[in-house]
Amino acid sequence: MRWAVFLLLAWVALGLELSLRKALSLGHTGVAPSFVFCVVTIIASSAPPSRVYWLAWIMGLLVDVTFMLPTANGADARVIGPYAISMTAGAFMIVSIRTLMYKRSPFAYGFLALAGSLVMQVCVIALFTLRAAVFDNLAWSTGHELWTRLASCIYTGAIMTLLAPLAPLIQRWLQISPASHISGGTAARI
Amino acid sequence: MGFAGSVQSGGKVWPAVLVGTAIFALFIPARWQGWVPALGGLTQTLVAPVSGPVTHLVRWVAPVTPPKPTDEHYASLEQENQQLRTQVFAQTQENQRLRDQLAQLRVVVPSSNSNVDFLPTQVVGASSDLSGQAVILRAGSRDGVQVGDVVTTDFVQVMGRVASVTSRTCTVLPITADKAEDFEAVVLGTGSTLRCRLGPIGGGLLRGDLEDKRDPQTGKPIEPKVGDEVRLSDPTRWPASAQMLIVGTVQAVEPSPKQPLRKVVVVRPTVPDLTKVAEAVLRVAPGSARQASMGGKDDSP
Repeated sequence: MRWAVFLLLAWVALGLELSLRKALSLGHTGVAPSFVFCVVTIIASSAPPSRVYWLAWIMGLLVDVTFMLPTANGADARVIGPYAISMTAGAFMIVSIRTLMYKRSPFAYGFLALAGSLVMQVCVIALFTLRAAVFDNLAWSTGHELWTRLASCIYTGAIMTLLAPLAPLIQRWLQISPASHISGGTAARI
Repeated sequence: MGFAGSVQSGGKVWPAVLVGTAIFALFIPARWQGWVPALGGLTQTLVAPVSGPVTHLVRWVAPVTPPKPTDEHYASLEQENQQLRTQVFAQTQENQRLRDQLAQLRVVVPSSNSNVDFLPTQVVGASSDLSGQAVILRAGSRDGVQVGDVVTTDFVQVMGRVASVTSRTCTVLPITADKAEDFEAVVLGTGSTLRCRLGPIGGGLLRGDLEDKRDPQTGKPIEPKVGDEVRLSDPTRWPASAQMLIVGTVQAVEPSPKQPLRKVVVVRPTVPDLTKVAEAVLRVAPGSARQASMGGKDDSP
């Protein structure tokens, strides 16, 4: 795998996450797509599992350090871990179901992104709800976050469907090929 | 195949990393991770070459500021008028405060220095998670920005206060963000002013209880009208440079759910969404402002 390409991809994805994401949000609802997770989906749909988890963890860590917690007093507070863990869990979901996707159509990528981001967001909500209850004074409403983030998962899936034509190109740049780690009929199907 | 088991090449490192991350995610309070914002600031600075131009492009394609007059001369006069109105209201308020102090104490207290430098700067991004609602500006401690500095859009619409600063960027919490603190403001109606305490209610709106003020002649309660201007007036929590800046306009006047005879006022900022502006103006301590990011543009309005 080409690490330089991955770093470039992470840089662009995080840049879009911090800028374009807000612009694409639906009004004041907070429903918005995640470009970082789209990149994780593209990687997780073909790379070897061991590599996928490390890359998802790194991407999650980048989101963690740039996510300012909604603290009740407005202070800038950030924590390491919630997104790193959750994004790895989301990637695990994609790795688990990717062999069921018979054809790499745009909708297959969209479905992978939807399923993976659902797992990721459920983990994020669980972790932050726990933190808000025990450690940190967060302005956190679990009910509101739940529906906002679930709607964001659908939005992410839709954006991934649109970005799917770029996936083979990115996978080639990254030098991650499906056939290199999946054997037999599964690789043939893909 | 289990999750940890499927990570083969990481050997023993991967489970240790996973457990360590889980401990940080679950058990270490944010106050013990004070070094993370510095790391985040560095990351934001590194991705600014991507997020900055994209933010600017998006705001250019879909501007959120109110449509400006096509006549440039008229537009500059309009802005100057707003600035002068802000200064007059602030001076009037300061005069009233000094008059009250003089009457009570028979001592003249030196007025606070409300002179500030204006530092126009660009919005380069936002929090990676939209529940954060913070906005990142391309100006930091090297430009003289400090925590608590006031941020405006178009020089007169109050946007919020600086929540944190790195050397090259600062983070602003808009007044309409869910976690923003309440503040006091005055509704400037025709012939009367009404105090209110505003707090965010979501959707980019502010709402708060209105002062119960009655007409001395008729005894009827004075109510603001939709469209009346609302300005910040909270000397205890906001600096002098923020007083009488525009908060927005009255969008609705409703009966208070707690006290039916009292009213609450719903206020909408003049900029539809404060979290989506492309440029902002920082009000920093005099002499500390440097040319930040508006290449070739003067510091003063």
